[in-house]
Amino acid sequence: MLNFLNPWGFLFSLFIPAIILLYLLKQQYQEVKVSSTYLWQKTIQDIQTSMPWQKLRKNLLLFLQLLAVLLFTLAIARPFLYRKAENSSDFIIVLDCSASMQAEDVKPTRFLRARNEIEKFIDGLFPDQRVTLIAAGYEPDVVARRTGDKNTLKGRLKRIEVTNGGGSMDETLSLVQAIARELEDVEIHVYTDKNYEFGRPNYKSIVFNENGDNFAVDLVSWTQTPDGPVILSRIANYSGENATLSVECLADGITADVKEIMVPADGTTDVYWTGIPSHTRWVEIDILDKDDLLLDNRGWAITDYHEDNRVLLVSQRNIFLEKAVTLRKDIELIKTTYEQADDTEGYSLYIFDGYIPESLPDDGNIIIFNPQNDNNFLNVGEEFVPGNIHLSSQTRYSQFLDFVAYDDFHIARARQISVPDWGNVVLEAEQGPLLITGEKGSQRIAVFSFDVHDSDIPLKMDFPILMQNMLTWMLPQGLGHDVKYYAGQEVQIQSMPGVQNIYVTTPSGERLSIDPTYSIVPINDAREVGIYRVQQDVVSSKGTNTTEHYFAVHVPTQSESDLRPGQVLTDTSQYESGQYTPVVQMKELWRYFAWILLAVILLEWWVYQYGY
Amino acid sequence: MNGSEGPLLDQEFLKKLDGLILNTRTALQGDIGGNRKSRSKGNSIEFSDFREYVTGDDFRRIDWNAYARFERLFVKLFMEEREANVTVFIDLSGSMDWGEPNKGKLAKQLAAVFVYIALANLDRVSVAGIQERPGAYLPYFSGKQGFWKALKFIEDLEFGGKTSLNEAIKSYTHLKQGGGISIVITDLLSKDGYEEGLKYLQYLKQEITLLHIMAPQELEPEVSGSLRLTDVEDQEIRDITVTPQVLKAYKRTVDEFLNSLRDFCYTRGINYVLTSSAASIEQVIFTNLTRLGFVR
Repeated sequence: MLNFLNPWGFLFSLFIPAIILLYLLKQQYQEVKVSSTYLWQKTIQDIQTSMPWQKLRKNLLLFLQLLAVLLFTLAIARPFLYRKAENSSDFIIVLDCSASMQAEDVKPTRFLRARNEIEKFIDGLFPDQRVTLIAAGYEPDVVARRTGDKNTLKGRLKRIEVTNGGGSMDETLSLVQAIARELEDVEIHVYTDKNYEFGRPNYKSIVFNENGDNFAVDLVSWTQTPDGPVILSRIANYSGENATLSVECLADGITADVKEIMVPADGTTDVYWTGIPSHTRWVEIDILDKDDLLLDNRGWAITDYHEDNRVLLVSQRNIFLEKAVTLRKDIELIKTTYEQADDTEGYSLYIFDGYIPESLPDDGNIIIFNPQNDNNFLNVGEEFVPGNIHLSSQTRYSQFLDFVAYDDFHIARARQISVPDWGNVVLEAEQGPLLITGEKGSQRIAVFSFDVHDSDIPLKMDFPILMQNMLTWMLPQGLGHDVKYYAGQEVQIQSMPGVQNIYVTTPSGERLSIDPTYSIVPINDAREVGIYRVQQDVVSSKGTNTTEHYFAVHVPTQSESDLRPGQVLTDTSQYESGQYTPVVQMKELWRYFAWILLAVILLEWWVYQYGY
Repeated sequence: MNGSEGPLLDQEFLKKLDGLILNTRTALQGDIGGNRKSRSKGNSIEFSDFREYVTGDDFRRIDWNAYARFERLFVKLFMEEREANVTVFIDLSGSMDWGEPNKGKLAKQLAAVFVYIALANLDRVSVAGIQERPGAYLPYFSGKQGFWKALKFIEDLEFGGKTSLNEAIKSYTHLKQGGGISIVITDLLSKDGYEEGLKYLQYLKQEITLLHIMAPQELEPEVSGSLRLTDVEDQEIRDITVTPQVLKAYKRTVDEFLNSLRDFCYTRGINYVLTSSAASIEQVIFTNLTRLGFVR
């Protein structure tokens, strides 16, 4: 059906009678005196006899001018064609930005096509219709909120980028539901590549999916053997047909091996890679064959083998502690006595049992058991008999006591310790603190106010758990053990004690400087897939020591690699919103009129200039 | 503007004219074809023809030898060296006072030049203005001393009104009987044509020289757009949209007009000279007219 956005534009048609009037009143002529009109008169007679339709010329000009005015009137009245008379006043547009939208089975990509379609939809909006635009990226992002301004919407739309992550469609739909609840007459369009079944008439999914073929590196894992690392990779085939693929293994970026493997349709094949050099820091597995989503054709494993952590235990033989600490395989425990314990350095962790040296080392973390009151570090008071042992409050340090039944501990005596300003009381009795932890600068310190021998704790199986919890915190591997992340996940880097600078180099080579003030540094920019390198400059009395480690960011293959639409059932029964109204598609026509107008004006000029 | 700024002709220029005479193709025509064979009148008598004696003829010219042979009286006819009657017609219509340079000025200059040459040849000369009707008129006179009076007369001529060449010539009553020389200076922009008038002059045994003056703007107009053309003579208005096409057609019309004019003059033995008003009087006299042999 045809309608007009700007019916006032028809006022312009008043120029039509004006032009006719002008023609009736004759054209405005330039007055020229000539010696005689004799020759001119003859000329006109000649022209008129040689061009019998010459008289029509003025009429032709008039006709063209009237046509031009008519076209201009139509153009400024902004006519549009539309389908279906009724229309919603509000739209919520959701754009799926998950990694699978990068697939190229829909040209140019699913994402770009969807963005294009949204743009067309925006172009077709009525002036009183408003759109809320939400990008389902790493997290739902309301890009534009209830606006009808097409330029704003298109500008914001252009800024939406596809992610390498799994998207956040569930959270987005919850958000959509919340927004839709406030709107009277709303229609929700989800531009995605999966078949969402909403079960509500005003929810509509626009699916961009051509059943693309895809292969993915599902998993890369490794284990250390005497012959060097052995890599396990799992190659998945989401194409629906058996495929023979070329897979390459790179060690530190250098090709180590290439294999031809057969992957059954909709199945996986495990590939083992041996003969990897032993000091390889990372391996990459590449599928060399092209498919519709190249993003997941690579996978990584960090084989960065850490040196053992050197731990110094200063005690008068504490077998419980020795055993508890050496449970961890990567720890090299060095034991010494009080007499030889001064001026030590070069350890990752110092455990002082019943002793505090005159000057504390500054290059490692510290655990102190049973401090005496002859030190410069802690203010130690009288002994007390702890009763009613409990967590002082839930802090991030409470994780030391995860899986530890501390309420069953029995401690014969402990010493009063006034809590230093860096300290947090983790475990306490009615009479005073039992475990104080905290960070002094980037140095992590834990103080137990009692001797383990004066308690039944070492006899319980909670003790090794407590110690392992503590060592996990005390002996950071730069990163946690989880060096495999998915794009968009928050990566936490544990800063090393005494760290001065932390740099993260992204797979594309960008170097980010991270604030090392806190012991756990989150990185939010790990959205690119690939290997990230983390460098930490640790300053100690021996100078600056730079340690490097790596982490890898992957595509969440389990949710993204299968490019086929599938059926995603969404429970929309609780979704509440207004009435269902059919979609309206609108097409503005003024551009066409404008082009014809231009042609008519050119023709008119030509006729005027050349006479025919 | 009536083309009268400054002296029409200066002394310098008049001196140059002294050697010139009007050349006429018809030396003797019929029995009255007096012409100026020689500048010294009566000194040489050239025999021309015989005719039978009629009463009243000068019996001194009877050829007695012929009488002896045929016994009839014959009179010898000689080329009479008579002064010619030169009439300079000048178009005084409004259209002549137009153009850049002005056609009227050139017309007056030419009229004065012809008067001067005629007087220098001891001819009798008259100047007649033509408009819708015969206009100002300077009767025949001769003798160089009359030139200044004639020049004053020419200078004082005023342009204006319509042209009707045919009508004006036909109703002109001062032409001397017995033929003569008519010089017609005009732009020929006469809506009733020119043929009748010229034929009439020929009927009166006038040898015609037609000096056709056109302004450059008439030959090649530089106008465009929607124009309201006003005829300076009759104020007739004609609206026209001038496009390159129309200009081409106009030039075609001018060419046709001039060609038909030339044809007419050629077939009727009329001396025809077209000159642009942009041409100087020297150019017209010493180049155009001399080359064509109208003066020598």
